[in-house]
Amino acid sequence: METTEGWLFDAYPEAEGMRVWLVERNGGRRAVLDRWRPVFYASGDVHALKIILSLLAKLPYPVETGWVEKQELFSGALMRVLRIHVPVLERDALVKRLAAMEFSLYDADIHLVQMYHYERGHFPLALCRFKLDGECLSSFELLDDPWSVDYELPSLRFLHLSLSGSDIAGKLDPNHAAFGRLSLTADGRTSELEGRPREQLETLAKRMRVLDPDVITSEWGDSVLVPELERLSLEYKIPLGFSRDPQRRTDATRKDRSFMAYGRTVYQGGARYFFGRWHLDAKNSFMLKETDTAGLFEIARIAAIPVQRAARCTIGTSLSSMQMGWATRNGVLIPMEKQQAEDFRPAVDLLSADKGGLVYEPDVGWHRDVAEFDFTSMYPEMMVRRNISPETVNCACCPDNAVPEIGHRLCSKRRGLVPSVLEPLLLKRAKYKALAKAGGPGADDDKRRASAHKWCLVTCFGYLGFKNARFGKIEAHECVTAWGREVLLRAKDSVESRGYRLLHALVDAIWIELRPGADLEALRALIETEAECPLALEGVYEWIRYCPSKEDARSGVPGRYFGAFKDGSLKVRGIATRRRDTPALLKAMQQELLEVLARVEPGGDLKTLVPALLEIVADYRLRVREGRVSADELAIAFNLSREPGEYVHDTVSTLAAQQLAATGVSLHAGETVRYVITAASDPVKEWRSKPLALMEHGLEYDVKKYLELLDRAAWEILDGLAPAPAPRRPPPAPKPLELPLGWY
Amino acid sequence: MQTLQAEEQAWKLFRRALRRDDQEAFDALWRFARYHAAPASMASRPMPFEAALMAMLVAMERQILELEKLKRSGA
Repeated sequence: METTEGWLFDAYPEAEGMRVWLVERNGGRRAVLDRWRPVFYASGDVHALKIILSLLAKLPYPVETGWVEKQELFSGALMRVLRIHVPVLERDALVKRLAAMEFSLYDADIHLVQMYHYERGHFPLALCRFKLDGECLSSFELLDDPWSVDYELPSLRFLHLSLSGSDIAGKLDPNHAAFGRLSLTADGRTSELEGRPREQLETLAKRMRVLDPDVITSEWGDSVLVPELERLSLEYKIPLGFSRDPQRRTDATRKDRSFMAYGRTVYQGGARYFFGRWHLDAKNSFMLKETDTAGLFEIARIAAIPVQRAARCTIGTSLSSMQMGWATRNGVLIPMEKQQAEDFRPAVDLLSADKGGLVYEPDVGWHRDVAEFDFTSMYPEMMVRRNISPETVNCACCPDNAVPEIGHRLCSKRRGLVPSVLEPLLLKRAKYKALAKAGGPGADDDKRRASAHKWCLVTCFGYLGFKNARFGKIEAHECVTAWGREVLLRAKDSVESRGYRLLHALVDAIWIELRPGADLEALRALIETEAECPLALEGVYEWIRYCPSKEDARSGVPGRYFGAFKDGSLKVRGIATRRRDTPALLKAMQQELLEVLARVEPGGDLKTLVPALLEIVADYRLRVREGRVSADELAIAFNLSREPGEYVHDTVSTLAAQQLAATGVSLHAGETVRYVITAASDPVKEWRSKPLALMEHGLEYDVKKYLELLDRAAWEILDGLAPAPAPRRPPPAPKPLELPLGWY
Repeated sequence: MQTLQAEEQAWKLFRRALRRDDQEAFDALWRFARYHAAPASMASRPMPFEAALMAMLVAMERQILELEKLKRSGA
């Protein structure tokens, strides 16, 4: 018997159980076998269970069964169920067979590695003391806690794979454009591979052997680099050893897909998983992009999702994993996911029948001395405080605990699953936010972890109302928004009764006009107490502008504003520079304009800055006229909502996508095509725009069109400060009535 | 918000038949309704137009009150 201390690095199923990779404290990397077998449950009448038992008896592999009592979530009642233990690789086929016979199964379709973590009570990157019996893991002691804030991680070795070689290659999806050269980065040094393919492969294989990285990060590794390198490695018979496990190559089981999330179509490439090593594709991982490895590892730990999977799964997966882990630990049966559940839809869709959050239209124009207060994680906070969970809504035991406005009731006896899962998450996020604010050596990572939690929390709300989710119920969702509206109304009462004017309110944030000498902390504490939800001062704006609607210059648009806080930092929402399709040139100009405005003296007149602002606009216009711009700066990003051939109407965007598709590139809904407008009104459609990927030689662009776009972007900011150039805007509408309320 | 837009759309032909000056007044009324979208949604009326109408009335009365204030102050 041998004991070793280290981190649980990777786990995946094989015939005998789970193959588990450890990163030992002494620096060793080793694989051990944990003879674990998954369990699932079946329920039904005596007849049904007899059929199952006789079927199980005939299977060619050993199956263990027994009777246990487990809790059914919605009723809270205990249920006698048949426990079925099977060899790990047999589970999916058996479950599929039983499900097809319409038996009620529980805990039956959970990702095997996650199930392994839930049952064993550990998680990816957990620090443990392992007891080994030869090559087998006989037991372990957890020296770690997923909810601890300051945890020790192993020092992992990284290797980064990317493409370089030209302006365009490396920046664009290599599926769409020229390939470029392969570069390797390790320990801060980058080298480009040279020579013929065989030599390049040999160099790569050698670097892999010498470095033996734990993590390979890549750009476009899932869709291009790894499959291509694997293909070459087979062709030239030079093994690269991407998987540390010598029995395994890489795994490409996960297919590519297009799906809707938060109002846009997203394309996700198929994944390439390694065994005993991780592959993380920075271009195919939302979590990695948003929160770096600090946030990714944090999510993997608290949600017990293998790191490579956590990097690629939708953000909702992590929260459902936490819920399933909680259910497993608490003896609650987990129903099987309904078939349509992959098709996760954004919260807005679900809200069509629901009132959702309250929105007060902003008072259009420039305002000085405005305070913004935000309710921190309002919806999750309501779930925790008010005990909102699918099984606590309209329970049989509590006739009185009514939700404002809507008449649903909430249980005050049984603590719900959703609040139980969210509570530690909210606490941990608050701690990380405090740590990040305090500064110190780990502040950046603390911030990334808090941000990872934020992404986790935003989904809790959508999932609660999602009827296909395992633990979803639309009534629970309605309770959350009703309590949210109550909080916002209480906040409105709170500020107005103290004589402040509410300028704008957006679901969980309020903007109020300040009076000189206002005690902000006292005001914050008052609102927080009266609204019964944690409130934070986002900041005090030196100035803020609420932008008008494009249809009606006197109507405001909720959430379209920009402003500078007293410390000179900017907050910008809903204007061109924030949009993903805006050309970089326009973004840069808006940014410059905003930075000049942010430097205004406290109380100083913004109009004195106009000459400096107009000079910036003139500079950009001149650059466009004189051709001092690059294709990259002019490129407009177009997110395909369908396949290029399916568009009925031609626009410069669809024409660009179709040109690219015509060269043989396969484009999927959700992918992005970047293009330049070449001649917006040319009678020859193909000449109106050109995809960046086809622009290796020479840049052409429509000067007039880009000048127009520049002006439009400039006056999105300058409106109300400086008159717009005449032909660009329609003549001002005749003023109907000079009424005292400008904002009406 | 969406229900409000649908309501406004439903009055499109009415708007078209109005004289130009009256169209402006008509647009102002819908601007009032949009401005009060939050209270309108809180009302949860089975007929959303009722809430829009109440929002318009509130805004019009507010204009009158402000004009009276202005008159009293001798502006």
